[in-house]
Amino acid sequence: MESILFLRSSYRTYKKILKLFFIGLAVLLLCCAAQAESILSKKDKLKAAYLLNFTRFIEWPNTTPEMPPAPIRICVEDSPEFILFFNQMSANRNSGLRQQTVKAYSSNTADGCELLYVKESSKDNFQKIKAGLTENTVIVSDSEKVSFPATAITFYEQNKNLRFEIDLQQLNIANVTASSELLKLARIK
Amino acid sequence: MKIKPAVITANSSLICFFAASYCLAQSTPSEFAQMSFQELLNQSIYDTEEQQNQTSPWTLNYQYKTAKFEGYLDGTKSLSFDDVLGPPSSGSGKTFPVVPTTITQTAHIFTAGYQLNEQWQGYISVPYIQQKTDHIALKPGYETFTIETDGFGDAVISASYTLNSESWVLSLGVSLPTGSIDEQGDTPRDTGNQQVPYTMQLGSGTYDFPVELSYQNSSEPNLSFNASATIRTGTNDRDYRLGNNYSLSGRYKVDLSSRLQSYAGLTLQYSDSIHGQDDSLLLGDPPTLYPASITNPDLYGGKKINAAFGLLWNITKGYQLNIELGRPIYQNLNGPQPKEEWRSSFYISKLL
Repeated sequence: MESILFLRSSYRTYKKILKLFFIGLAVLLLCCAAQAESILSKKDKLKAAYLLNFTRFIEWPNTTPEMPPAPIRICVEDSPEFILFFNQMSANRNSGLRQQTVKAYSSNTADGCELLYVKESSKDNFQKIKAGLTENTVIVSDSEKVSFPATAITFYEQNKNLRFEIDLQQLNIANVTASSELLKLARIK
Repeated sequence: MKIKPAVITANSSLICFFAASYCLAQSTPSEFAQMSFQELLNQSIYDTEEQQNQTSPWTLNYQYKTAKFEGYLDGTKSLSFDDVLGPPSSGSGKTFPVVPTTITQTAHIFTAGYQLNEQWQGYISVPYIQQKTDHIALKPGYETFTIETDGFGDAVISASYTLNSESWVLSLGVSLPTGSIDEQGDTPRDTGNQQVPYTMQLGSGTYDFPVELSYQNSSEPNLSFNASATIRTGTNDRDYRLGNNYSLSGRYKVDLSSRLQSYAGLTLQYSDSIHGQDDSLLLGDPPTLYPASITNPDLYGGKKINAAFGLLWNITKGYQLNIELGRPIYQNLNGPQPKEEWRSSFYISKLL
């Protein structure tokens, strides 16, 4: 009789442990997932660094050397982590140097962007962002899978490295000048 | 009972593995700020060297599925427990002295996948099944009782072929009769333990062949379709064969972010009734009376339309998490048969 009671008690204890285990599993996975979502991949960081470099080699009509340097606005689709990383990186780059300030903003709120970085392709998305564009906005697309009107620069991957393609026609339409150094490194469309 | 700690151990190992392998080295904004174009061009896009050199063709998946059945349907007509509880019946009788009230089924499915080449992928999966059924009965001393079974179910070996377009995937497999069909429990049929009904068994007892064809639209709208079937063959050692299952499903996904998707889907399901019969489940001499609806092989199968909603999270490269909740919106069952209330699943996969 005692052994039966012991077995029943062990069984109940076991069921409690099993339930706690699965609750723990769910919590752990969700925590991991939340952490993962908040950390940018190296690919995203590289793209941020490329964007910062693009601003050094592209000349916008209202930022000629004769004029006092105005901040360059990079508009990014809603990604707080990316914007935070970009701005920290840009602040580091600018510190101690008399260079033009470059700052990233959310494309939902900013307007008059010199450079727009798009990660999603859809007509709705274009309509949403359109208000923030000017005729001189250079549109940079996250990958070849993203289809966005008037894209001038497109990231692509080649042998585990990140590369970019430039559409000269779109740069001309945007009335911006890309340096020959930038064009040498790009795949020209 | 001895198997359960093994499941905990296996799960714990998986969690530790998933958690430990998630520690990725991160670089700071200042490091990237100083990089020239040439340095950027030379940088690998992968976070770690391990990830960069990753050539392992293995994937590891864990899926937790649960379903609850409560109440009764005969065709599309709802029946109360009082409608079903009554004297034993034979043939097409609709009353039974034992009535399952709530059935809960849970499966922990462990799957290992191996990428043979760009087109072919192989899988082996082993489910661990836990089932619990609450009953009411006419027999004194058994007015209410519960039967539980658990153990490993039928292992499945399968292969999938991706067509060149990457939109079509065909899968074929074989389900091995590794799950028990001899599970026993204390039922009102007799004193001590007896064979429990088909729903409480852990396997089919036959060699079955799951087949699946799926299509994923590669552009907008983000739609996917799937047709699948489980074709069962022969007769098991207890002289029956579970019914074939057929299903058609469609799913529409919406991107919530670059890594997170939500989806909604509909599944049309058709299941056959059971062929043959396990005579040890019957009452009478000769045994002709069914003590419960779930002991009558004709009272299985039917048609269902299930609606499901889920989240698909590509946590990092190599990790994927899926949570889904579904509920039937239409059921036409060969009844009286326990009605499905809802089902849910949780799935995580890791590219090794």
